[in-house]
Amino acid sequence: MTSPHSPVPSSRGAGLTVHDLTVRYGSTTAAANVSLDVAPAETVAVIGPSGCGKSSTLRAVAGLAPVAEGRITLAGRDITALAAARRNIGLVPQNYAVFPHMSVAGNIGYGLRARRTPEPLRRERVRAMLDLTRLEELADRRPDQLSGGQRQRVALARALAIEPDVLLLDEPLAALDPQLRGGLRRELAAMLSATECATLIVTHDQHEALSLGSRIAILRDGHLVQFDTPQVLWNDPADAFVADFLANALLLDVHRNHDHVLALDGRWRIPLGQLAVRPTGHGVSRLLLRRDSFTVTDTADEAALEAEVTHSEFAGDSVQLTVRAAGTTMSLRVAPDARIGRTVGLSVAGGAATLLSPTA
Amino acid sequence: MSGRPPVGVLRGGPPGWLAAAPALLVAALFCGYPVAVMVANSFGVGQAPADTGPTLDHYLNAFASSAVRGALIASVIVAGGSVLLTLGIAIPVVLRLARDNRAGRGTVLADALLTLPIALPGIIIGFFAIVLTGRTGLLGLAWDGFSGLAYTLPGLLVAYIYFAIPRVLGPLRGAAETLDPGLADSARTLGASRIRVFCTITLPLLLPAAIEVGGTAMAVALGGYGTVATLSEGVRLLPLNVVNELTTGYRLASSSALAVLLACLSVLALVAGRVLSRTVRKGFLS
Repeated sequence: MTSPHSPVPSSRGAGLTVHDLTVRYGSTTAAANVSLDVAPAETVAVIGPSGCGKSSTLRAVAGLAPVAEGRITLAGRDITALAAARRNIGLVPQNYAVFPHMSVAGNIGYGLRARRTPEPLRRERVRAMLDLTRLEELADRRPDQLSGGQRQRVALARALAIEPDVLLLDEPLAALDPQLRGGLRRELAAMLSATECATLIVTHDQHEALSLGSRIAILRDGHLVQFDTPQVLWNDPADAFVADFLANALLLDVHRNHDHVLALDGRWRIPLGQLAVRPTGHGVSRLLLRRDSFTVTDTADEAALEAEVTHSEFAGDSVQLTVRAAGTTMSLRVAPDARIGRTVGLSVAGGAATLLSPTA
Repeated sequence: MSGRPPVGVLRGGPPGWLAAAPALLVAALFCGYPVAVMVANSFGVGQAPADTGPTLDHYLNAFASSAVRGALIASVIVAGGSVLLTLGIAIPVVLRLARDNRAGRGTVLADALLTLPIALPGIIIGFFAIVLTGRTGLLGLAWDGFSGLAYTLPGLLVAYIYFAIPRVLGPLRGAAETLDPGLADSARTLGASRIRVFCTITLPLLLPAAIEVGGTAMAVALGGYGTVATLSEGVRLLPLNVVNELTTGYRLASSSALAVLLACLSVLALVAGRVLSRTVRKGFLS
């Protein structure tokens, strides 16, 4: 579903359009009625937990997974039933799948040889790709002599060499050391923006999705939950799953009165004056609480919500608390010197929590 | 640094070669000594009646005999040809089974059926060949051309293919399982046809394993006796000559010379397979 107010670029006819896509493996439905689109030069991130259908969606676009229902169009062509070899897509698989028996240049030129591109043109294109991905020095190296980041660049250069209509990246940073991911993510973003190729990235990492995608499609159990810009997903999540998965935030249904809201079946009464109020496109009033939205007291306070501390974790500049109140588990962050007992009183820090209201 | 002694360091354990000692002992007993006796016999310096004094006559006689030369050539053709043809049959099968296995589709029945011949003695496989393509065999009833095929070189080739299939399929299956399916997927998305993907990605990566497996299977096929013994009225292979020298007149020395030749041929196939496999792998991957 797309939020009514989302600034969806019009990409029908150009770029990639996935319409009501269903992918089944035997009796298992991996993706159901997924619709999304990628405009030319746009990067869309598909995110969700393991088994949500994001990789199946990408593989269906690539022509490597069976399409049970729906339609896929690319650059104005219906490619739903087209063989993978004829789709003109550039795929970078999760483990990069760099051909181990070919040099870096051999890998990059593979698709051009398969397309019988004339030798001079092929050499020129390979050189341009080596230049783009800064692999000139490594052109004659074998893949086993490369680092993970270099292999990723080879796979990217190989996919881009054929001038694809869309670039598909499957978990592009998952195979790399966590310490390197930040730098390589920025490097990848720079290379993608230099190519101006429509790009679909599949990831389970919220940082990757938020930083690389100009729009994000979030999937759960094979269904598309929300497809919008990172800002909209961050500020107005469709449901508690989106808030939790993408922003580690808590989204509570609330009942709004004239000067306060009631959450957790009326057990938590929060004065309206303590909340920032923003409009929502999802029709009902909800309270968006991030880790820093709380103040914690260990004294009995009538306005505070009593919560049981189930876990406490020292994180250097703060303490991460997991608490449980009225059957709901919440994560919050407190100062490292805060005195924490078995129970705490939770209040909303002034202006740090947001009331998403259809009538703001 | 503290003065504490290092903890958890594995020191003073038994040396690694100790683990290999029982296997080495068995190999020495059941391979080293008999081979030495066989070689000594072939040079006329072994046990009676192969103790006529040092001589190369038995080897020279063997090479001078057109029957032995014919058997030697037929052995190489049947063993080499059957293994090559088996590889041709087995490679698509192992790729398919590996794909099915990855997709979670059961391959137990196919595996069981294809590896069954490994449990069958060569003599039974020879019997199968007679039942199917002997003079009154089942296929011979359908078409005269099949009648008596079992006793010809093509018939023997077919029987040896059945013999070689499980010996090739089993090890090659493991190699196919280790091939990353993402490689072929990527190649396809880059515009390569299935045939091109097979020729430029799958086959080159499977080739080192195929060569090694082929060398081992050829070594086994060269020494196979049961199948050709059952079909002995047709084409003769070298193992038949080895036994023949013993059973008709107990010519121990000439039998030993032929056995040494056969053993050398088998070892050559085995070593060639390994060396060639390593060379190909190095050529591809270094």
